[in-house]
Amino acid sequence: MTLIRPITEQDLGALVEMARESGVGVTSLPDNPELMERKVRRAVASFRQELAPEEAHYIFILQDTPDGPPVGLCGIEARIGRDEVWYNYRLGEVIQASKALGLYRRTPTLFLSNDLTGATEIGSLFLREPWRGNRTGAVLSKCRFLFLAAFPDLFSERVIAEMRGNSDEQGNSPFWEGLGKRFFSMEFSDADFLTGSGDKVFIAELMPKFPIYVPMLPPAAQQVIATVHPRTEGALAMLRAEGFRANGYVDIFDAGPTLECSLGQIGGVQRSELLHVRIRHADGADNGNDRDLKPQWLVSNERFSDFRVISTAAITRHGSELELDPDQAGQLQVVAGDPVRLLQLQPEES
Amino acid sequence: MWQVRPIQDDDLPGLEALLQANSLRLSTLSTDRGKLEESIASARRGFSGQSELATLLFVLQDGEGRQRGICGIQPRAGADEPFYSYRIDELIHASRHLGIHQRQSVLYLSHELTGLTSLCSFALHPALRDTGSFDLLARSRLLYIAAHRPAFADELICEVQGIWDEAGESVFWRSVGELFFGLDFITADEQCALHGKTMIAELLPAYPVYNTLLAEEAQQAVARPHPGAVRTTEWLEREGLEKTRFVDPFDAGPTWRGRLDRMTSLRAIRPVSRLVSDASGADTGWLVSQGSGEDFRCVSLRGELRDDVLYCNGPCPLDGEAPALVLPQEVQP
Repeated sequence: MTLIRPITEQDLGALVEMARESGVGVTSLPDNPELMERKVRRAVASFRQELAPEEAHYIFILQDTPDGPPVGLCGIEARIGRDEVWYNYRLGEVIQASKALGLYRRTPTLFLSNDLTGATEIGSLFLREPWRGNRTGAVLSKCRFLFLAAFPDLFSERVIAEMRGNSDEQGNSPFWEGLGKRFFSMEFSDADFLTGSGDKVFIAELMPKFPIYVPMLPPAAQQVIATVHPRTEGALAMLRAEGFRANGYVDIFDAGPTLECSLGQIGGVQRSELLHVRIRHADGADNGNDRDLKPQWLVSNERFSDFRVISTAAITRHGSELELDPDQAGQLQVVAGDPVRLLQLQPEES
Repeated sequence: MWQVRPIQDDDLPGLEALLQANSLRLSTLSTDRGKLEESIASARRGFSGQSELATLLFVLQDGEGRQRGICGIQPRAGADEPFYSYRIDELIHASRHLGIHQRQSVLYLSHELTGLTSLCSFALHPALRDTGSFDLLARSRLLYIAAHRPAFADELICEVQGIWDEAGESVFWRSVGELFFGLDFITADEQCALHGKTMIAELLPAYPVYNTLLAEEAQQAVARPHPGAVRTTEWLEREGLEKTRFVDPFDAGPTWRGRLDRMTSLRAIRPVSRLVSDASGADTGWLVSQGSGEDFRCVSLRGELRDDVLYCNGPCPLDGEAPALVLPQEVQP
């Protein structure tokens, strides 16, 4: 049975290990213990409300068993672009037209922008290889919608997710080769490491400030603009099913697309239901929580600092009451009558 | 007698033949007959004082009256429209934090040269390329300018042809203009001649272009003059003009620029009151011009300047009793 909970300082060691195995492209998990520690500290302070809500970065930890080690994480950045400038390319176009010459040409153009500053970002999702499948990725991703639904006032109405762009097996990004690298000789894997290590803004400052005419880029670079890494296809499909759409912005390094949805329009937020706990006595009726069964439901408590989410294969409802067994209630740290939030996973999610 | 004179209506057939023989195409002169007629008519309005902005065209004619070269002066570059160039600028992409310091060339569209006087439309019959005719044709314009100084700006520019390949295509255009117009260079060049360069240039993308994003050969071509233009660039240098950071937006050929009154030739021009046929003096080469507007003539002859009289070693081809301007063929910068 999986449990999702706020990060604590004790998770640092496990995160450093995960960062080592995550490889290039997962910028939220820099392979740099010092930096990782800073991230953890900030997240812990966020859950303790020691930071202003707009400074907060929430990191949620997934553990496989109630007392097991962390095997995955995901995050919500309350407001992007506040302590470091947030850059994107906006996909636009310029038109060359002349009636006299019978000319009408559209030229796709990348405009450097800080437009997404202030939006809420869901990101930082990573799940260790052995735990992928059996819907665990979906569970980990969607727990954030329950947090957003429970505390909408802490976030922007504008929620975005950056999708990892295309790069090859060696970690080379065709977009980087065609654009970024021309402006400072650095391999994508190095640049990517730097971005994860908090130097993203330094690199962004070296990038071209004037618009880039797409046809001037090599064909390989043009082709990957706004496309996602094959390993990100699943995440893309899931976010689309939740109502997220490409918003016309791409990452300045790998041209991966940004998806966006209004907080209130996110499927998972809309579908989540606030219920109250009823405790089932331990008289035997199995709630279907066999770990071999695919989880169908997410249940979260409504607590901020002690936010928790569990998944379950089946539920029993009595009107506005949700029946939890004592184990589940313990995991969620709730007692009878407490509010909990319920979200059904979509049938097609793996 | 070889001479440079204002273009006339009956120059049309000879001019067509000349342009066909000329391997360096002129983006400022169409080979289309109707357009050429218009250019000639416009130039004539300029010479007769009816138009201050018209491009003045001069013809080099040989002893038999054949057209052997053409050249032009645009009194105000762009005339009543903006004159487009790319200005090459440099941006430093640097980060103290990352230890990176890189110089990036950026091309900005510019109208800065608008309104300066432009030397243009130069073509000489291929057979005359390495003769003194180049000097006569090219510098006759400076005598015209000296004789009509108020009609021109204080600064002079000259756009030199950029790098074209064997097929007559500009490698720069392939990497820039073609992307935005979908027209190859030759077609675009024809469109320029038909509709005017400004009209095409107005369609160029307004944002700066990073040199580093261009094809390698296009990057190399920026601000490099065509090898066939070496005589022109050497002459411009001798005149004291300097190569600028402005390049043509079509072929990235460089532009030379300088103050008219500091030009070597302009400073060496002297007025004379008479021309006298007298072979007793020194034998030095001179360019001599006489007359204004439609009556302007420029010839090359040998003789000696004493006081304000030029003594010619041979028959004087111009009006001996009228004042003239003289310019030594050899001038020290």
